[in-house]
Amino acid sequence: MKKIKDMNIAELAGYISDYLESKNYSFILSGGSCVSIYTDNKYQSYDLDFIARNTIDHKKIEADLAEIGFSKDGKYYKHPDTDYFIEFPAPPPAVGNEPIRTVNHYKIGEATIRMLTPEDCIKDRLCAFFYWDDKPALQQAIMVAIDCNIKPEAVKEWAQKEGETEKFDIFKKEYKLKKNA
Amino acid sequence: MLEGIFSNSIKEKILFFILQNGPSYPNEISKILYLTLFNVQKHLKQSEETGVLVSHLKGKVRLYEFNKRYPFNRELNALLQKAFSFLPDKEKEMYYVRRRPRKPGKEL
Repeated sequence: MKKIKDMNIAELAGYISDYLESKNYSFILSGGSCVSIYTDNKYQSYDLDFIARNTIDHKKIEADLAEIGFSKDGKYYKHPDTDYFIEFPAPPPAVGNEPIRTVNHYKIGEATIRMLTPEDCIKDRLCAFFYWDDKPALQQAIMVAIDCNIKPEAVKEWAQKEGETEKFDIFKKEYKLKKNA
Repeated sequence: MLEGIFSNSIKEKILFFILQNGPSYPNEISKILYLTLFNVQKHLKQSEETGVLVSHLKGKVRLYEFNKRYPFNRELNALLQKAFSFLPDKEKEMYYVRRRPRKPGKEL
């Protein structure tokens, strides 16, 4: 196994995901790091957002992560040998009003990252665009859609349920422009 | 009104305030609701950690608002709205803050 200082974001996510699983936690990787992984770092994130799928004891997590060299720094867990850091956003794992139902078991070498599916990753980014008008998040959603070969129609029904048909149309239009560029 | 759910009335007041006025900053909430700044900041921080609220810096001021990505946001807002409607009118008025523009130097 590589040393932490030599791991890229996907390798570190796999290492942490397996470690947390070995300690009987159930987490799913969410946020910008999923974009990094699905787009082969076209978008670079340093933040590993693990969202708990069941109730967690923060004191126990702190002690468990200390065993592999991560220490708490504000709301983040940092390691002296890497710039990547871990965060545990508030549960439950969801994309807008929809709970996360499917976990993608993404293989990276010997490790497995439990993470959002590419489709949920697009929805996750679109939430930031829908609710906060975050344009970088829109671009990230488009990157994942193109790199993972997912058509905008795959998230159309979800966007309608979120009441965001106008912003979905913007996503679809910009996706087509980028896809055909 | 919702102390049973929020475990105390301070958090309820803070959430009512943000519900009525939108993005709000701790000092404003503290002054208008006659709460200590420490208490307001403590409850805002807790609500942010649990995903109910989010905050953004605007200039030097940190504004707190409901987290639209919180999966129970709609339901929580509906519950708060209903609870707020049960308050006596006099108490409701306490939460209303001027949000329309005011020219610099204009008399109150």
